[in-house]
Amino acid sequence: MTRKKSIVVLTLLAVFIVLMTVFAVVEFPIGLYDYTGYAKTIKLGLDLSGGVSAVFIVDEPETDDLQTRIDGTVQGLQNLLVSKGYTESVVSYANGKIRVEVPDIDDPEKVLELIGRPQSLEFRDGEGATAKVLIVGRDHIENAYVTYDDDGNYAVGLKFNSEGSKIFSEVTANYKTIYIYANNELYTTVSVNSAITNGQCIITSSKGYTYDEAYDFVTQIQSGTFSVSLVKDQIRTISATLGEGAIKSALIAAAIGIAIVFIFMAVVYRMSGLAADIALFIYILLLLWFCSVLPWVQLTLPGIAGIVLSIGMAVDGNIVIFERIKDEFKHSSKPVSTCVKTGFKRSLGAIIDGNVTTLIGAIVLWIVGSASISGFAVTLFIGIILSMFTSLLITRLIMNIMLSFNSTNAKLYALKRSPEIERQLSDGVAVEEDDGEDEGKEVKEGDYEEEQQ
Amino acid sequence: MKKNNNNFLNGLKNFKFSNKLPIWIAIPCVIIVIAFIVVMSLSIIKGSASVGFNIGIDFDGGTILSVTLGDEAHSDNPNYNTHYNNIKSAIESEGVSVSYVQTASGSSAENDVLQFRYRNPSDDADATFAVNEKILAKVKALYPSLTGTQISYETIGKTAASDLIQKSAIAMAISVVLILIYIIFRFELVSGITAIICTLHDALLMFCFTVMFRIPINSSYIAATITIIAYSINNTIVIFDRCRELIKPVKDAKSIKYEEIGDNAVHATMTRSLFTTFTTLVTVALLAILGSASMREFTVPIIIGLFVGLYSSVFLATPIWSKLSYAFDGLRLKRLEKKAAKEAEEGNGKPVKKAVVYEKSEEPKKAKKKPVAYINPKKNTQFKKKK
Repeated sequence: MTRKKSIVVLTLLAVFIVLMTVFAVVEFPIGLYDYTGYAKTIKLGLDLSGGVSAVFIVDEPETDDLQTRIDGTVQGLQNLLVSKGYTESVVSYANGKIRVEVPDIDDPEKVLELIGRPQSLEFRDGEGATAKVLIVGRDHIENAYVTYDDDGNYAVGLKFNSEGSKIFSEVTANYKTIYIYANNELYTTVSVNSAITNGQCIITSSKGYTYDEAYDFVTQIQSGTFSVSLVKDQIRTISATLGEGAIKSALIAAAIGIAIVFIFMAVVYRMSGLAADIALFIYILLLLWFCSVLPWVQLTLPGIAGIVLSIGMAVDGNIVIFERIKDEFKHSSKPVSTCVKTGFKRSLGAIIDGNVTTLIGAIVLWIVGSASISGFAVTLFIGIILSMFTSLLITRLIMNIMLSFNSTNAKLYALKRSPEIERQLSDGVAVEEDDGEDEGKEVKEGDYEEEQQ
Repeated sequence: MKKNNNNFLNGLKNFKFSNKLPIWIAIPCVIIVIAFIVVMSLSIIKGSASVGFNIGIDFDGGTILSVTLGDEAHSDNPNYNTHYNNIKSAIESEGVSVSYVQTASGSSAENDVLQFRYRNPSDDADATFAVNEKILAKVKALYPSLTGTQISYETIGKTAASDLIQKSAIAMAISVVLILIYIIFRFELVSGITAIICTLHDALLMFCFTVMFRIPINSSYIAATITIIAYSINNTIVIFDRCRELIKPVKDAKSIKYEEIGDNAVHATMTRSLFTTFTTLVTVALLAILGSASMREFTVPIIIGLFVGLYSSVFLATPIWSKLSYAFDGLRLKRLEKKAAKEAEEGNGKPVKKAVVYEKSEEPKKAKKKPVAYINPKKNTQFKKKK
């Protein structure tokens, strides 16, 4: 890299770092909206920020299958909240009450908005009180979602469970018109063209849905599929379970810890360490940005640990590389820049293999794990990808920039020749180049003799 | 100071890890036995396995005690700490430990309550009821002015998703298989098996220490375990990467000194192992020191896990790897011999290959300068000494 190019790249990096840092914390209005720094908009879990706790009384007569239905409702509520990005919400049941705790909101009314005011959905064969109920939402519908109809307008999709699918295919075979009732009011009528056997259908509105309307209706149907009726008992805001100061002390600890790591790297590896520090700083900024924009991330204490760990792995990547460069320099007479190059090349395998194994774990957890573990896995996943990116590319870039200014002073990069090589160099003897690949091949006699002594 | 440090590092550099595998295996075994005894005796004394393991409130459910304190229920109120400590000690005097304390506020500030969540002291509903009533009476005695429902308790169900452990276990099993396949693909079978052994060792030992230190097993603990597994496998891989590199030039040799390769790989990566553990430890340790008690329940297992992971990657990984490599070479040899014998029996006229039975390497030679010979000198055809 030429010096001129280095200066350009360095300036760009500096501008990027400054802008990212500023945008992380500032607040300012853009047009109608207020921009809030991305670091401040990271969603937090119940343990760090508290939220709202709502208690509902289960209003059902005692029957044999009540407990199963309650369990289904608890699971349904949990899934509903997770699907809205509240992966850290908690739903529990005890003594006839369902307790819903939703993190990171402070308006109690928001809970009702989230879990919806349940709609009971029924398919009937006609209007009026004499009409026969064909399908009942909470018994036969498995899921509802927003989708498009053939003309590309928003529509509400319904998926029936196995029993529902069977009834629905019979109904569509026998009836020409189906009346859909929501909360006992006629919502829409559908004309059936042919029997539908795949257990899915879509509902369109004569006026056409906006996305929000379709989404609201979906939520209402979903909560209408809960198989017990719930009566609101009390709704309260709750503080963080780790104590009100939890997030503050966690941030202070993280800040001091990262500062110590930065100083450590700079002291042990000097300029190289400084390059790693800059790369790490970029890493942290990018990680925060991803955490704030990705919908699944609700940061909890385990999430913070996941971040600390991935920072650890990012530092580790740099340490592996620098130790390698040190080794290369120690056992050869090559110039600094060559050693840096081979050092990066040789540590590539270790870093990629180490990170890929962790990545495999993160992806499996993401797919298989339950909601809160999934959120944690996402944080870990982003962290590892970024850590590979920064240690392999950014650190290297900055090292190259530094080398373009000074590539002769080994001390600057905390590199030292082994005394043996030092002696040979000062004697003017050509040193046997050791680039690893010729180890074990035919070795010159001289070397072997020396070994014998 | 610096000199000492160097001596320490030099000492480590000449240390033979591979010779003492029985010791390295014995240490974790002892810990596992102790943890088992602790758990068994506590489970028997308290009459409940979940108490023995100290299962957290989010898996087992518990009780939530609410005290209406109005403004003073908020942590910025000067009287908050007094209330907090008084009520907490009243609850804990009945032999239960408080898991979380939080403030719940409604529409009017005077009804704000301080809530204490604690795990039920026993699996028996009657016994729990009795303890809860005792606690209620004690707290009511502390606040005689509060009446009726202003101090109350109610049962809470388990808050962790019921499938949390099950799903995590499935995820863990799938990851282990996939990681094993990846390592076999990138390294070889023995490295894969060893890496998985080390990972399981880390999770198991971390669990033992957590149980012995009486830290509750809750959903954060599951996350902590996953964190450590992810971290520790990376440690092991870095060392195996060195082994892979050192073994490359001698791969086709008939007899390889695996334990020397292993020791050298550990030595070459020692600085890195120590530095990396240190840099990760710093931040987690600070979280443990500056954070609240409930934060410590999460960070202490991670700290333990970091040390356990360091131990397994330095003391267990390469010694097990070299032992297994010998065993696998032996198996391969036997297979070859069998094949050769079979072919000889069939007498198909082909020249019979004779398998060479080789002995295990002798006492490792004195530390050598480069190029380090990882090949058993007896069979060594690559270094011809001229007279």
